[in-house]
Amino acid sequence: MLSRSMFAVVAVLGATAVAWPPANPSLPMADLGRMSEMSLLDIERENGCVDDGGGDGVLRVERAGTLAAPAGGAGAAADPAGAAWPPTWASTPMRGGDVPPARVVSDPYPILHSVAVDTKNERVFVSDPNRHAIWSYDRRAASRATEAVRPLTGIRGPATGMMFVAAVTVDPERQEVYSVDNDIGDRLMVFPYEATGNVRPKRVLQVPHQAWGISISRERDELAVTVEGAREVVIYRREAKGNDPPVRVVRGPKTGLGDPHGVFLDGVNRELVVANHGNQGGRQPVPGDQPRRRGGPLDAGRGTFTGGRFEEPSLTVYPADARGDVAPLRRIQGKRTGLNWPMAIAVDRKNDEVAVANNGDGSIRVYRRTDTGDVAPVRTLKGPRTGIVGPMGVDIDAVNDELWVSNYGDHTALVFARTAAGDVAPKRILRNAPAGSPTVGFGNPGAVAYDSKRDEILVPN
Amino acid sequence: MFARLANGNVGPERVIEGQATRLSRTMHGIAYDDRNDEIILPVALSGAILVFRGDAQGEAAPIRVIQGSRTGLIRPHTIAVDTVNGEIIAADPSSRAVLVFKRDATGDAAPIRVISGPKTLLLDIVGVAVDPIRNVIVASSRSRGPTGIMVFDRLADGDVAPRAYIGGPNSRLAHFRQLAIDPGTGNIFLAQQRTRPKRMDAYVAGSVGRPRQEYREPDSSEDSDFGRLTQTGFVAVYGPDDTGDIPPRAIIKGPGIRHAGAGGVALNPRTGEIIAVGGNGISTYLLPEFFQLLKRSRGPETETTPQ
Repeated sequence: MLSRSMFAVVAVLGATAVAWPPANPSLPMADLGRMSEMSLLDIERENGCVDDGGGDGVLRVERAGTLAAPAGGAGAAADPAGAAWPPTWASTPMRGGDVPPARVVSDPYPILHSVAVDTKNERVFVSDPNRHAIWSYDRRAASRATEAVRPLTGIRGPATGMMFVAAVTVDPERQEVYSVDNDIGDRLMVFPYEATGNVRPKRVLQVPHQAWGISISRERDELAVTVEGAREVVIYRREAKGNDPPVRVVRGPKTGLGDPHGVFLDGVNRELVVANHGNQGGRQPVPGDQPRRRGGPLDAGRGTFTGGRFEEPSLTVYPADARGDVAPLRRIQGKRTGLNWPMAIAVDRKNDEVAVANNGDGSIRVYRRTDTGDVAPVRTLKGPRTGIVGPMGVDIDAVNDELWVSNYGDHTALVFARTAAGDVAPKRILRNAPAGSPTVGFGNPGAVAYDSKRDEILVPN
Repeated sequence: MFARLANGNVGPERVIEGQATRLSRTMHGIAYDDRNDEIILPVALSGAILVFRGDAQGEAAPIRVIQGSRTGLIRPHTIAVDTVNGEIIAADPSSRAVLVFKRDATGDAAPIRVISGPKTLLLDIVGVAVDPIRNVIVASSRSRGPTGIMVFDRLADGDVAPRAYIGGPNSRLAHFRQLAIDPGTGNIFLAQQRTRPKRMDAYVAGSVGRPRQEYREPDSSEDSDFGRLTQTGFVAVYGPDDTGDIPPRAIIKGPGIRHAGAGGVALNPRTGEIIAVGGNGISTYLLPEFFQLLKRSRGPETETTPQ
């Protein structure tokens, strides 16, 4: 269904496909990395990701599924006299049915969430919650002028099981890409690098509801997952699958975890680094070495009801083997930090720095890895020349001395010199839609309101 | 915030975002107060209700915040505003309660009424709406037990049974969210994401070492709902007096609706439009006939009179 809706919008654009693979693979990627939205759909169609009927770009609105016509014409619709009670779906007169919308606001292009760079295999992977996909590109790919870059692979379709895919990370040694679903999927999925199209994951791990960030430690052979509402970091064996339990959980009032998002399990420095938005729900979290409680009414004695509160956003650092309700070793927090909805983080072990995708103010902030307290970042990338708009993902390429940013507010991933600061233009731009294509700015919305004064539709994200 | 007439791939006209707003990700409720020109949102991750000016934009701070130990808010998911009686109605799946606050409440304010308890059938409450004309509060609640729409007297307080309940296998209600009520007719609109319950979390209540006892390993056919028309969601519409295990009286469902399922629904009775969000899009349907009274003529209870 989603494929259909997006395809219909795209079909109006009517762009022309370019040939792929390129005739001369030795051409530099900057010249090769061209595609149109139409060609992207062609790839998806070939791979069985798109079910658009005739494959000619025309959405066929089928009325065959329309349910029974309303009884009684204008005015009240009532059950026919003598009908059995309760009515069945087949017998009840039901208005509406397969009704085409008068208007649709939808973004047909990938919207980038998270980014992970692999310098060993020269690949970059991005997660796309808009199309429930993972795309990969050559690490050196760049858009020419305003055009989009053709991905090397695109994992997408019903067999993948991906829904609102949030974070992505890679295991260069085993050439595996990991993704975690936020909000509705509650799954961690592992695909081989070469996977493309509508393919089943190599492994699936059930993870707690509202999982967001993911990080693999090669040194520890473990992976860490952050969970927003539960205010916890769950650590699994790297190869965990199915219902395998976590090996430990960091959770509890001493941890300072508050609506955690980005995570980095640093096996070199033996630390676990977490980015927190600071939101604290109405119940105190149970220490992570004890079972979580069930939900329940206020008077059921299920845990300590404290009332919610807002704390300042923070980066908290724990021992890599932390377990249960442990206080952080260090905490970057306060007005001088400039933290504002910190999303993904990346630790640069070579240069002892940590980069933060600061979604709330459209910046990338870099701190010394060992900083603590109310400290200013050592560098901030921000401003109109940077092209940073609603950053969700960040990664550091210490080999090529580059910093990657994925924009949720634009259809781009940006590559900067690692030490870039201020309002500077990126070295390369990797577009997955023609420049200037809008983004709707929401994903998996669960509510809507109508503002009758301004004639506006309000959507919380 | 999008223009009502926006169509295609368009960006929002304005955005409220940033740390100072105290908003979070994963917000599943919103209400607009047209009498006082305010936007009201529940923030599940911080146990709070935020109220913004109607024209708020950028990193605007809320003008009022309801949050604290007296509020009863643990993880509020959904919200409605009663502009006639000056009340905010929030529902919280963790406290398993519908909590009613004065519209201008702020800070650590106690609710003025709470609907909660085993008689209410409320558990995972994901939608709430209020009809100040017919004096009802309607909640949508999911659980492994009663799953559907519960209708309460607007002034209900405590552990009270709903006066109507729409749910059961014939209703096909399973994984739904937001509710809306047409003030003109009292018709009840529900956004359903899919017709199968969400998979159970393995470790919500279990120990670190093993999954919860009642957890069932999903079979391979449950990998995705996409593309299965029988399992995709819909917007369902019921009459104000409906009750029982019944199908909707009107529905938006099918391959042409451009939605796999709807997570949210809002109404514009003036234009006869139903606005649904789901997947990653907003769809607006022009269906003025859905704003005519959907009347029940027979059933287990007495016949009702159209307003």
